[in-house]
Amino acid sequence: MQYTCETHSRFYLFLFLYPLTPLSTVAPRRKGQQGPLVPITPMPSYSDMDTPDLKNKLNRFGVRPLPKRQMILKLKEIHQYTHQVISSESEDETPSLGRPRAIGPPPTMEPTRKPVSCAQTGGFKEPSGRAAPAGEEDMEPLSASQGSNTSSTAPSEDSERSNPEQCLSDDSDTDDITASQSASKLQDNLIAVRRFIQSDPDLYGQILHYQPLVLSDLQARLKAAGIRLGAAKLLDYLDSQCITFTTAKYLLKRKHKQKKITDTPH
Amino acid sequence: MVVEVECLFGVYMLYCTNPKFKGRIYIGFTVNPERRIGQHNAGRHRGGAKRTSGRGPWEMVLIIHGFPSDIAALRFEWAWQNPHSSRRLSHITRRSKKESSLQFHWRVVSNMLRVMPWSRLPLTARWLKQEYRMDFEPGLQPPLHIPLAFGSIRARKQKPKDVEEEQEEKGADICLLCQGTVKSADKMTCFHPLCHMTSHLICLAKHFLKGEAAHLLPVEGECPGCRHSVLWGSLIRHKNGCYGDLEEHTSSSSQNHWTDELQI
Repeated sequence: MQYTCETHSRFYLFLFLYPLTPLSTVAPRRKGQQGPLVPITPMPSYSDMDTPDLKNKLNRFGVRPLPKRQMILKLKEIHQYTHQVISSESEDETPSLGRPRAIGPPPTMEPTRKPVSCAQTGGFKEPSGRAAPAGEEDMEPLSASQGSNTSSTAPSEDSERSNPEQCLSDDSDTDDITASQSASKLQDNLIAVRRFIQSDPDLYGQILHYQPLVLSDLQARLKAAGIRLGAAKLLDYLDSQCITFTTAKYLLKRKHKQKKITDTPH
Repeated sequence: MVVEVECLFGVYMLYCTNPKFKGRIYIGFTVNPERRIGQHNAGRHRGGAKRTSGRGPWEMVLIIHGFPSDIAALRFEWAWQNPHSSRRLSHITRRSKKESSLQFHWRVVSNMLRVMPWSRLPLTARWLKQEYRMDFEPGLQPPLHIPLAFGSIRARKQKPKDVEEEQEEKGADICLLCQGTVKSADKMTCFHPLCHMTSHLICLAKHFLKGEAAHLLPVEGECPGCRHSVLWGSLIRHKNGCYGDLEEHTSSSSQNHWTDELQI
């Protein structure tokens, strides 16, 4: 399940030392060429190969045996990398391939986490993956996907999921209206949201089943119903109602992964 | 005695027993605690986390389980790992000098169980190792429906549903509360033996929410059929085919306290 740094750097080391791929017909190196010139040969049909063959092929690159689906993907990836017209090999790990926790299609790990649209406020604190808060010597904040659950351990889920949980700076709601007026407006909006949920049996049913709601969906539907509620207030309300929410990205990724698991024959 | 549970989503706490690492703590998420602790102790090449790999033997001492989805559990995990960044936990003070890491994390999780959105989830706080167990501080008691349990837990695979059960039953089900016909997607039944209660999902939710008009999601209530007090979460688990750990729970209105049920 885990794809370690070591095997990966071995792979790149291999490419560096033996730039000609063993899978294609060897072409003589042209002098003066920057990188190795590799003819574009068609990709072998990895999807139809047996597991022992896949294992052997991977072993040539110093990659340990993986689940079959991942081996196929990795071999295809390697083939793409080694069959580029312009040599783009580098000794450093590229972010999209090098994640030790990458499973299946590597999740895009954005170096600066893209904030959820509703949370783009000024004082937005990014969860820095590495810095330990002062005085907390042993609880370094980690990306939360430590689980043994194979279907949902993408590191990027942390960026999506943790954003709504972050401390947000206050919504500057200070217009000309007084505090009590805005409070009662908020109350009205919350009541409207509640009525909206109760009027939709499917939506209410989802909540009663503890199924997470897609935040952007809900926001769009509320907007369409004419209910104006700021994102932070909406999150507060959802929390107070114990309603789990999620950003669509995480769900899409999960659907994508589950689809892949069910599609490829094992 | 090992409790076996289907659809287990748990957030656990590991304790490092190596004196060199002075009681370090690790928080993680799992659907299979027994497998997970093995992975941690085997190192990162066997599925364990990088941070725990090679850092001394770990023991899984505490697990919070009962989350209805992985997303809910992952959010809890993140907040437990980052209480000072979490919107809901800004009141939690930093770890003091005399507070051990274990005590600090116990304090954090005690607070978390009292705070929305987790305070209405059908959670259980379970100490897996007796020697580490701590009680809730007097001022940090969890909601009454959240028990403090002791003992091991094991993830269990869900039994595949019988084909017969999946088909619509010949006689249409009638909701006990509104007398309307109930479709299988909305059908709620009670898991107590001999109770034949059937009702609509929403009818039963409304029944449970009497007295809590402001809320949409019920926590617990009295079954209209057998009058037993049941957790909403247990009913949903039962509906989804999870039959483990569906204990009867004394309602908050009764005189009993969860501590009465503990066996020491």
